[in-house]
Amino acid sequence: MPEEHVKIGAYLRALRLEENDSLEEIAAGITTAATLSRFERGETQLSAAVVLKLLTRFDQDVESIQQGYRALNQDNFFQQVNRATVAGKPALLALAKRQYRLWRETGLIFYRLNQINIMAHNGFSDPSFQTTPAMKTDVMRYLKRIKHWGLYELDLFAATLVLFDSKQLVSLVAGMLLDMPKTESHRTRDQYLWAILTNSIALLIHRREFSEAVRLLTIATSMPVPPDDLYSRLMLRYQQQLLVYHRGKHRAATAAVEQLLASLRLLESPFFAQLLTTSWQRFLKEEGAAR
Amino acid sequence: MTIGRQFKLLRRERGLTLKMAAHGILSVSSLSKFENGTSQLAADRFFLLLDQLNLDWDVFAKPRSRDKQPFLQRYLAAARHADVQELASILRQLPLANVNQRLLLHLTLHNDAPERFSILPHEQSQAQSLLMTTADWSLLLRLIAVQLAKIIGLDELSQLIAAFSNQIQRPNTPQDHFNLANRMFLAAVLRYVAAGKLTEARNALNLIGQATVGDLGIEFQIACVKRLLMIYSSDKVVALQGRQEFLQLKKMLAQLGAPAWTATWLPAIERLAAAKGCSQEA
Repeated sequence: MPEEHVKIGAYLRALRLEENDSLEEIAAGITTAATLSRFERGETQLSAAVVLKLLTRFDQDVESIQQGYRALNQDNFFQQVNRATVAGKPALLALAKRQYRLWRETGLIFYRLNQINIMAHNGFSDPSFQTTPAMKTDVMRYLKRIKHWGLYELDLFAATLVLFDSKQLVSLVAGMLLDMPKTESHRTRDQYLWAILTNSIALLIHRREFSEAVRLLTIATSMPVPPDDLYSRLMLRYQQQLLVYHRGKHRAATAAVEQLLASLRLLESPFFAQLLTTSWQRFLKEEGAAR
Repeated sequence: MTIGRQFKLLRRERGLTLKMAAHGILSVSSLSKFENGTSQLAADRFFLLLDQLNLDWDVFAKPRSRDKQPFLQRYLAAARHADVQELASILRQLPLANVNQRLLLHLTLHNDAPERFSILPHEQSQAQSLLMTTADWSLLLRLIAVQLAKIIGLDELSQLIAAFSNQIQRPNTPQDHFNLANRMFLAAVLRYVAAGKLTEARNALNLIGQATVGDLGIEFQIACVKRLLMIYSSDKVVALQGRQEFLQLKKMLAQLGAPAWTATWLPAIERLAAAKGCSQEA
């Protein structure tokens, strides 16, 4: 498989030309322009340490550079997921099965996690090769150990929230937040972080685990940097009102939610208004049933 | 910490043996030597390892101090919040040879703080011809187009809009390409409204397409601009409805706590609405 990979040198060359950077600009103080040129053409090797330094010389950030490289590799898991998502459910299920088989063959945990990611994220179940308790055990065992969360782990966690019981969920979220940078924001990380937070709170409210929901909402609203996107802010505000309602302040909470819904109905796409209306009606029904 | 030690830490945290991590890429002893710093690793093998373990490259590529960060990264962060001071400091550190980057900064500074930064006519025509003579716009050029749309003459604005509209017709246009185009179309709508050209404003608004799905921020911005057009309608009933709905939208923003980036476009809409007698007190 490694032979099929686009060489990193060739990729850096394409990147450099796209950005209109000269060999000298990229190489300055790290290596010579001549060496970089030979590396780009595959005529010499450079050490990992040197290439890591070169990466910081481009206009794009390193994360975008990594994504660009990944997009060239058809075998990459996320590339396969993208293709299967376009192709539809059977393709996704087949991909999950393939990952499961590879795990069985090689014992490499990532195949197993990839399979679980697909199954949980799409709400698939297939008892012939999978059971929910076993998936939960395997993801939990992996994520529990993680102290340095990469985008892979964030994506895995975001996809598998529904598998965990409420205590596990709160403790995983708390562990994840410990590793988040306090000030420097990182766009993709922030997106995952707020998606995980707001989705976890929604899940806990739906399960009627209100003390855990309050705990996570308190953490979310006291984060040093509030979410930059309007959607996360909307969800937090809405979830706050659900908890107010649950505490018995029905009139105030209903008025606030109705306000939000009225504003959302002014948007061109009905998506957000529908999303919240459905959720709100379901919540009211659950509250009614509980009383 | 050396990259080898860092790799070892992350590998063990993920519960992988040397044998597992090295599988299919290099020998166990080579990996072990790399982790312990007794030997270097060729870049190609290293990046295969990162891929195998699903590790992020930027953990290993040490972020540099802010004034050494890549230009676009720094620019985008500063421009999102209209941070004039930071934009000016990026400009100061930029070599004179980086012509297009300087052009983008001049345009942005002028648009964000017109009282402090003027833009020369030749810079404007330079930006214009750059865009018109380039077939495939890079991110830098797209950003220039967004800024140029805020100042270019009204008769040339339509040409610029059409050019950006063409750029996003290609198959596989990435989402951020659409987002920037939409920002430009919205800016154009405001300019047409300010000039009383409501037909042109509506046409520009109609260019905003599929790109907005699922993005509440841009949806909200479009909704506000639509209400502005209603406020400018000659039909009194429509104008009144536009007014009420615009205030309702602003109320929601106040409830959610407006993110800082709304400051780059909301005040302009508010000013135009206020000119038609629509303000918070109304």
